[in-house]
Amino acid sequence: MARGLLNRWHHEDLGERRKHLETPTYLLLSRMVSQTDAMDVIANNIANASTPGFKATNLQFSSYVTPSGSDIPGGASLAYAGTGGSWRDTASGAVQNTGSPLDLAITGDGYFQVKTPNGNRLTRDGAFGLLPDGTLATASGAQVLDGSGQPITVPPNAGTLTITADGIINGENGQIGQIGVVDVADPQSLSAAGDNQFISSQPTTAATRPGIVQGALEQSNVSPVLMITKMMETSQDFQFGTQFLQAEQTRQMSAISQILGQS
Amino acid sequence: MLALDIAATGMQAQQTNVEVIANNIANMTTTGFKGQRVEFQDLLYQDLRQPGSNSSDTGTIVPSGTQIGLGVKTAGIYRTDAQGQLEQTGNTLDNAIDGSGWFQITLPSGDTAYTRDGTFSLAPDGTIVTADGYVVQPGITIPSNASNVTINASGQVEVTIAGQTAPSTVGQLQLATFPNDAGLAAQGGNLFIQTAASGDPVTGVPGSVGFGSVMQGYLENSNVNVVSEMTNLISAQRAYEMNSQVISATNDMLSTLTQLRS
Repeated sequence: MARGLLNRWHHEDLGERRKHLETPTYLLLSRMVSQTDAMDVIANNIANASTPGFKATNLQFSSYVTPSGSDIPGGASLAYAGTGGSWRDTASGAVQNTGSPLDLAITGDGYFQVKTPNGNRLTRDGAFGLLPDGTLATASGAQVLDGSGQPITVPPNAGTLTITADGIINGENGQIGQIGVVDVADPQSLSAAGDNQFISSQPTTAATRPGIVQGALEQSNVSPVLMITKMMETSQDFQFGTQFLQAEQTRQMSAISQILGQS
Repeated sequence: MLALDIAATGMQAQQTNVEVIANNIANMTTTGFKGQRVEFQDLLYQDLRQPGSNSSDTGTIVPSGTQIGLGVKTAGIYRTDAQGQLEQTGNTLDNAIDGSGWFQITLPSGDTAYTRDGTFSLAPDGTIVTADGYVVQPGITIPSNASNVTINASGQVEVTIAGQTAPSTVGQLQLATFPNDAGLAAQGGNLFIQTAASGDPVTGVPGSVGFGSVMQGYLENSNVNVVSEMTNLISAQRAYEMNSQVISATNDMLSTLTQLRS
């Protein structure tokens, strides 16, 4: 609701190009709304501190600059804060040994390609298992695809599986298939879809050197130290904002009483 | 503020994590036990601004959107099917499986259960049964006048009968494998049953391609690695604390808001 109100005030302000007594309050409100968004993003990062293949998200603030009005002394412009975008920290997470033969970590660039009912998705979470028919799949049941976009089926008598760095799956009877690892030109263009999956709006290319490690998982790349620090900073900033708001309220009250007192 | 709910999902997830670790540690000396691991996934995202949406009438697009994730969920609890250590017991009817496969057990209900726990003994009539007295398929009976029971790597049960020089074969143990071992449902008592997720069992002679071999006089220990469980416990506890810190920081923010009017 706060966001809606803010937008309305914001537009009214822009339209009339006049600065009201309340303008500082609205400026501050825009910042505080951004801070609550930042807190939500930090909370999500911390909640996913042990989600394999998770990439930390950071908010980027941008300013909406309003044209300077003639009634502003010195012609200064007003800048409202807003959330400009979120960017994903694409750094690799730590690779943790799990000992499970179907846990795969990509140590190089690239993503596993999985097939969901809503289309193909990308993921860095290599905690795979088998479906009842032997098809390689993620924890949410999405089929893992090979380089040509086909699911990979492990026959029941395959025995111990070994998976090489370039994704070739070998059973005791020989080669079963090759896991496809794809890369995108701009990782920031990926949209997070939940279930550790990303949607790519761009065409993907085969990754040149995936460096798959069997029996390990890529951990979340959330840095607890960084996140807790950011959390404290956001919380402090927000409290500073409310104090400013309180001071601003006092200023407005005294201004109103002075105006009323003079008339 | 979403942050409160998001941090709550984080705390719930870590609680599940600790519960699974506790069960692993509790079963660190259970024969044939396979440690479990919780698999987490991020929840849905709220798009404040879609990546790739137009930012102007001339078709410029935003390079990255604004997405706020809504927390974490438990996607599944995996059983790690790594081989447990084989420990020599010297007991004739203790059997371990070296490699993949499960012993098949007939439950009192007539259904088949599967186990890696090969602590077998004899029923009053000489049938090979589990510690709970359930018959090990295919129901091998050791004659009362037999001595020197030998179970070889391919599961053949041979006995020496008094008065005979050559050992005679009294039965053949078979193992079952599944397309997806992780899909078996744990029943307690070291037993597992088949589910839609595990697929249908494939039975075979131990030691043949795709099946492990039987080791007489050995038991498979729990595959729980206590050191890694302890480090997992520490990180789970710290992650729980961090999420609670988010809740208290968000609470601070909200309380300064409510104090605004005072």
